[in-house]
Amino acid sequence: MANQGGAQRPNGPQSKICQFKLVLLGESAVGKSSLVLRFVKGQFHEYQESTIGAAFLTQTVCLDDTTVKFEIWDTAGQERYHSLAPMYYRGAQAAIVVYDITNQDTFGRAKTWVRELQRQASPNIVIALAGNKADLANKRMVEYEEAQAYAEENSLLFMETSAKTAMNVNDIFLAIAKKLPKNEQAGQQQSRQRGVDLSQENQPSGGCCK
Amino acid sequence: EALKSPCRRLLKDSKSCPLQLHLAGRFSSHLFLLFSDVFVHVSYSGHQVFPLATIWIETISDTDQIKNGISLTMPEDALTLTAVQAADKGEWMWAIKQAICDAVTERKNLPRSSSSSSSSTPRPPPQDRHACYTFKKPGPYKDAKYEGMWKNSKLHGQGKLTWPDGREFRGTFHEGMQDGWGTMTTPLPEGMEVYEGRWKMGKMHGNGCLRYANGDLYEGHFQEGKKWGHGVFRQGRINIASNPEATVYIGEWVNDRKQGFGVLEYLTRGEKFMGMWMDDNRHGNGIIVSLDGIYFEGNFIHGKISGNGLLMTEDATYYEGQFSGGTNLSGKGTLTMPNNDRIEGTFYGSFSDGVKVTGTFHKAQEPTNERKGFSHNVSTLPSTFGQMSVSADRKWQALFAHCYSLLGCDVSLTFPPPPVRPDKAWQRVAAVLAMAKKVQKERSSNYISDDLETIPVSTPCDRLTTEHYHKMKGYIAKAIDSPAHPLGQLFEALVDVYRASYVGVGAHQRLLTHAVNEVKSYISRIYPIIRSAFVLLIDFKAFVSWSAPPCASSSTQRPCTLAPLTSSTPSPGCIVTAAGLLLPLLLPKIYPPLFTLFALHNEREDEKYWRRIRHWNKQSDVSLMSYLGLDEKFWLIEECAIDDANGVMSAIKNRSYLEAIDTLQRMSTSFSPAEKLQLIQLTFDEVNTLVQRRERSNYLWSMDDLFPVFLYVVVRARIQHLGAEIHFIDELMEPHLEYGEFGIMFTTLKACYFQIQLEKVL
Repeated sequence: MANQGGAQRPNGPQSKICQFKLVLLGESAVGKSSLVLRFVKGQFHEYQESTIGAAFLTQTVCLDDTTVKFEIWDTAGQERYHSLAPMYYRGAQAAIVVYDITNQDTFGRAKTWVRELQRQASPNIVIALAGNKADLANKRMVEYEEAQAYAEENSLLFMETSAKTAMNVNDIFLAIAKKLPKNEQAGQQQSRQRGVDLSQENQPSGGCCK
Repeated sequence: EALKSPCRRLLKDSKSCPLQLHLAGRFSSHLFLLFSDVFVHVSYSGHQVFPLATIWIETISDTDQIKNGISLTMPEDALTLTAVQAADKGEWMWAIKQAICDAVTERKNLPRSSSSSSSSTPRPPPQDRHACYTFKKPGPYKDAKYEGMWKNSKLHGQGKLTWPDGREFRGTFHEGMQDGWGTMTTPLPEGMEVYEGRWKMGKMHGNGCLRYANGDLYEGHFQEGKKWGHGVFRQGRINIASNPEATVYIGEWVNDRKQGFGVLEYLTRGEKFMGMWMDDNRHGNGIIVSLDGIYFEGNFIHGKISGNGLLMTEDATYYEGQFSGGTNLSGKGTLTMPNNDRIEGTFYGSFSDGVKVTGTFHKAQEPTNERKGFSHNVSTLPSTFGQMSVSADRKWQALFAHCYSLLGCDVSLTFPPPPVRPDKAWQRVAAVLAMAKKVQKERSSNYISDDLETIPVSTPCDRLTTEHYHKMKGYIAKAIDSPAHPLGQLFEALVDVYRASYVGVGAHQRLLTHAVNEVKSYISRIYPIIRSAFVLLIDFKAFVSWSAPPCASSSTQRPCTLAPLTSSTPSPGCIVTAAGLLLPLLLPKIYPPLFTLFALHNEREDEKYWRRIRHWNKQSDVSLMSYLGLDEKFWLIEECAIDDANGVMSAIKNRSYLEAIDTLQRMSTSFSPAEKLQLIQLTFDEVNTLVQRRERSNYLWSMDDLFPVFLYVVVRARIQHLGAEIHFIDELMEPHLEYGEFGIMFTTLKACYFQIQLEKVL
């Protein structure tokens, strides 16, 4: 969803709302859902309203004059379902590729995801690499420098996170929010991606995210 | 003289009471005789007899030219008579009026009361009366005998005309001409020609049905006696072997000829042309599809193919180039094989009989299979596909024009016309409904419900509320089902043309794109009609939304809370769009032909999917679940297994997630993408409820766990054309639903379908 300009928040006439689709990629058990849960709720298990739990969550962050609303799509990380990912990241404006710093294989898989995203996802997609389980530094198998070098090479946002201690969790989402294009033009492009308009009346005007 | 007959009495003559023909020559001599049933004008050359029943008398007020004048009007004559003295005029007036009255009433009450006839104040003879008359003078009614209602010497009201040659008209007249509903039968050497329908100014005009003497049948719109506007023309009969061409044309007519967009089906050949016409010839862009799977697209000029065309066979082979005659390859072109190998050169022949080729073969470059698997075969279509077809918005314009004109818009200048004011539109709706009721009385046809005349949302308001929306939707739903309502007429006609296009030979997989575009075009064209004519008070330019609990102060916007997980996901029915309003009303009516096209298009994938579904469903729950990789905690099966003894294991087979499976199955019996999406969501709800009940604690899903569980539900739901269902939703769902909870749920269903095809058959 890319609703802009229509809804005004009471605290400032300048503020606008941008909605972005963010997709989570990564091997199963690297902590994708824990990471996103930590972000949206600030803690682990708590009651939830979305029917499908952490598989689909929304969270809003405020940036200066803009409210950025993330719509977070989880994906199935099993190797078996690898080929399904394009359906999920289709139309996404941001992606977090998660690996487990205690597991070298998950980092390898993460690199595969990044390559695939760069090749097949929307050209302007903002990709962040998250090395999760940073609290388990004693079992570390993926060196920080190695991952950072890789991220720089591929111009990715990179942070080591811990869903358990909340380290860098908000930060990585904020960093993505900052990097996302929020101008009028971007909004229009996004709305065009949303499929065939049956009629001109279908243009969004922010009515649905008040 | 010759006028003598037993029951005829002379009442008055101009010898005893002088009466002259106005402006008569000085030396001519005229004699007027009033008998009990006729009025006779004797002149030098002969005499004219006018039956009194068809004489209308009027006094002429004195002027310089005419003094003491009397005007007599008959169906085909008029006499202006003058009396010498006012007293004579009065006497004549009284006598003629009295005689007419008696003549008119004679038939009705035979025992003539002489007292009333001799009363001093003559009743004026009725202007409207029932009488018989035989026309003599040249004109459309020459020699015809008329029996029916008159008004002021003109045919007016219900009546019947019969000609000596056997022609007969029964129907309504207005001011001397056929006008309104009427039936005309004309005997011809080959048989009887029958027209039943509306007339105007003596000509076929409006909707009607004309059955030609040779059996051909036209049903549709007429104008000035000619086929004009939208109509269906059935020519020839299939069961007659000698008739090589039995055709059905449905589309636009101008001046008795096919002109504009129309679909012609050759019933015997199994071929259909969908395109532009001029002067009864193919002219402009058009598509030909045939039973043997051929799809052709090209441009025609006066019936002949011009320039390059595109021919596709059932597999992905296609030829782009020159043609001759029907769909015979002739001249330069490029033939592309399903694997993208190409032959460039000259081609002569047809695909059915073999093509002679002189050309160069090009091996295909590296196959481009990017985005393979979930793109619904779009990549197999050549880039020029659809370029020489008629755009969906151009199709069936006459139907929309008719609807607009029923609503009082002037369609002659611009199309679509500027919107009328809603009050005017409502007046027109009431008028159309009233007219339909009248016709219904004349023809004793179906009952028209009264509540369509009630305006659903009459109080002006600046904001659409749920209540208004539902009232309005209810009204529209009723209106489109009423054959009398302008919207009902439009919907009925659109459903007919849609079926005519896409049923039979039209059930052709290459037509899917066109069929989908046509649905979308209907929506975008019907919507302005509804918006302008019915509910102008509601501004539909934007998404109109209302919050689930209706806010008391609707104008103030709720602050955007930072709390996550508020159900801000748009759901169908909360955001009003043209498609959201109209698709659920339109799709049920055209679902079978449309879905057939989707099913054909996805046949290969669906077959692959179905083979696996059939095999997998022979498995027990446990083995299927473990095969699909469900975590044991989601099996939801041990409970029953433990509760029951070992022997009852078979009874609990296929019991897990039963509610969710049932819900998902209902998808194939719902007709709109919104409904289908809601069922998908409900399926997830039920999966969630079942698991939550089992887990007792609040379990939080992740996609890693959810996906296999949902995959299991999809496999067990055994939806036969799941690929077609998915493609259907994909094409027709409202764009705003692609995101949010619906978005991810639908994507997950899609992913399941795709995954099933990837798996081994087992």
